[in-house]
Amino acid sequence: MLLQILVNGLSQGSIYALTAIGYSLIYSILQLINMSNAAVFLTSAVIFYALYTSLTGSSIALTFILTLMAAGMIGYIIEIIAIRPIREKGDSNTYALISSIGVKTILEQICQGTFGSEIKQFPTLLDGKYIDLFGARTSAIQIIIILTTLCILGFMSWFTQHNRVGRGLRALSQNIRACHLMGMPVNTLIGISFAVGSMLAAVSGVAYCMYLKSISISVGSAIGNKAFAATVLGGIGELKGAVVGGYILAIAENLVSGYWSMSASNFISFGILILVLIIKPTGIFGKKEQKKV
Amino acid sequence: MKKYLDTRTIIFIVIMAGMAVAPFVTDPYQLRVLISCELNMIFAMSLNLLMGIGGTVSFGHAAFYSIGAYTTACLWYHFGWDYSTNFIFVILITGLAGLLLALPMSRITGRYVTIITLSFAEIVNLIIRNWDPVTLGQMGIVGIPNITLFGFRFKTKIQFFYFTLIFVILTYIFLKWLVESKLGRNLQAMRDDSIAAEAMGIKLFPNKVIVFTISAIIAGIAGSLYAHLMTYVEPATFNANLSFNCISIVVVGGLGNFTGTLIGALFLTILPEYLRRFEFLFKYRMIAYGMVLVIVMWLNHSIPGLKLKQSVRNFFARLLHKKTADQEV
Repeated sequence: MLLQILVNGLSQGSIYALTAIGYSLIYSILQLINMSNAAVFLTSAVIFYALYTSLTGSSIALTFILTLMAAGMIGYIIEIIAIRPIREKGDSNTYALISSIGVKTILEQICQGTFGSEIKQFPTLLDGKYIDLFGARTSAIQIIIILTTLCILGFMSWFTQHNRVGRGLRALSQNIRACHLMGMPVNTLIGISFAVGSMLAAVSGVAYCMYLKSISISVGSAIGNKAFAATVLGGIGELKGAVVGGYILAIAENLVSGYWSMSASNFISFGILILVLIIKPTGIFGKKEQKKV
Repeated sequence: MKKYLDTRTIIFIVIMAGMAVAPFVTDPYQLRVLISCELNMIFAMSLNLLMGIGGTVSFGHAAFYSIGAYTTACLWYHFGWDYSTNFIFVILITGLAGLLLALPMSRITGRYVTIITLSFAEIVNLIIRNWDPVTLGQMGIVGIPNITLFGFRFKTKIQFFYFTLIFVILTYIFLKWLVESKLGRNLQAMRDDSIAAEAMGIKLFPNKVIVFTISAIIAGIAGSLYAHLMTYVEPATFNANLSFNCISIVVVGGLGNFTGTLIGALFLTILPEYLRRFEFLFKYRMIAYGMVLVIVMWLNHSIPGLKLKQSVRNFFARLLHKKTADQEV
């Protein structure tokens, strides 16, 4: 029972973690909570569904690659249209946050308009295959999700530590102005960070719908809020915090729904969030910031 | 007397006069849209008090709206009380909720306010969804009657319209007075520079608690009227989008500008209803709320009356790559 809960929690936590990295990455650079991330989660799932059923002739790999490219482009365009004009004027982040909420509304409404509000069947990998993992009944897609997430996390850690672009993003999170003076292409790099965040949201969006084997218009807001809670729990702006927060939240939810009740599991994530905010607002890994006069 | 008749007040009087004669020329459907406008006006004005004057953006203001709506709906459903009694409980309970949300504010500043307001709204929505014995859960409460005051039942929507209009006017006058009062001035000082305000001897915490409570109460009143207008309440209505739409209205009207909020509410409530007529736009009509947010943030954060001309000029100047008035200074 406990092992089963842990496996479920790990696969669900992977989905939270991937979306949470998107929030955290952009926050670490711009100190901006990018609300459009949850909408990109939904949009990419809808794009995957639309491509799979119409264009790509039922090839999951091809559809997935096209969806990733589309999500990356959406992220870059969001930055150009909604964030860059406000950023360049040097305005408060609250305005950029409100603008990103506008983008979220636009994306969600476009999805709702084109997709409709009914639940549809979503293509999945290795349907009906189960593996007995020390007594825990694990579906193949759960293992695929966990492994994919581990690969992506490894890639992200290589990307931020050893890759030129990734190191640029870390430099940006320390001091944008200095980067600008050193001749770095700041605007392009920030655009890339949005694209990377969106692609991670796309991976988790598609993975989540494959896990559920269905897609409806409400998946975005449900997971978006949880992922956001995970980001805050781990310490917003810290990539490892987002991952740890995502797994803690998902395992806690599965423990509560396994041993107590389903409806209580929804409370637990926000209960944990409120507790963290009251006890240690910076989250598990967050650094304390100093007030400047 | 001259002091009170500035441009904003005159526009307010014109709008209210227009609203007052509107029921004579509208059909029932248009009247319903106008009542929604009034509710959005009250709701958005309460948020504008928090955003424009208090400098705290609440991303979960729908929580208070839903608490107000559910308070009056539950009291009617379980006890059969009329609105005059429920109204007192709406004020008490939403005020208490506002107080509860304001308490963590002593420790939390800046971006964590965003986070905690969002999660507060989510928790309120979860409670409404799952507290079956009281709120009837997902089913919602149906068949809520029109407002009854001390045994007198409103028969038509026109009476409801004027009753709500009185609330709009009272809220507006109250908020205008509040902004000019000591509390309002304290809040504006805190908004502009909280450290300097604290150094001048303004206690941040009590002021924040009071403004949250007042804002919550006003939003709760709007919600309670909503329950009687729609005759049913269900949890799905009070999601995060309701809060975000309210932010759109406030942002369009301009932060701290209550007359602008009234215009914003009229604009953003009527526009989606108008777009219903066009078949190809029908599904996408709510995009207007999102578009408005992005465009206004582009232009100049807000369009407060007189700044409109400036921001439009800046916008075209930017298109033509000319230097704007701002940049020259």
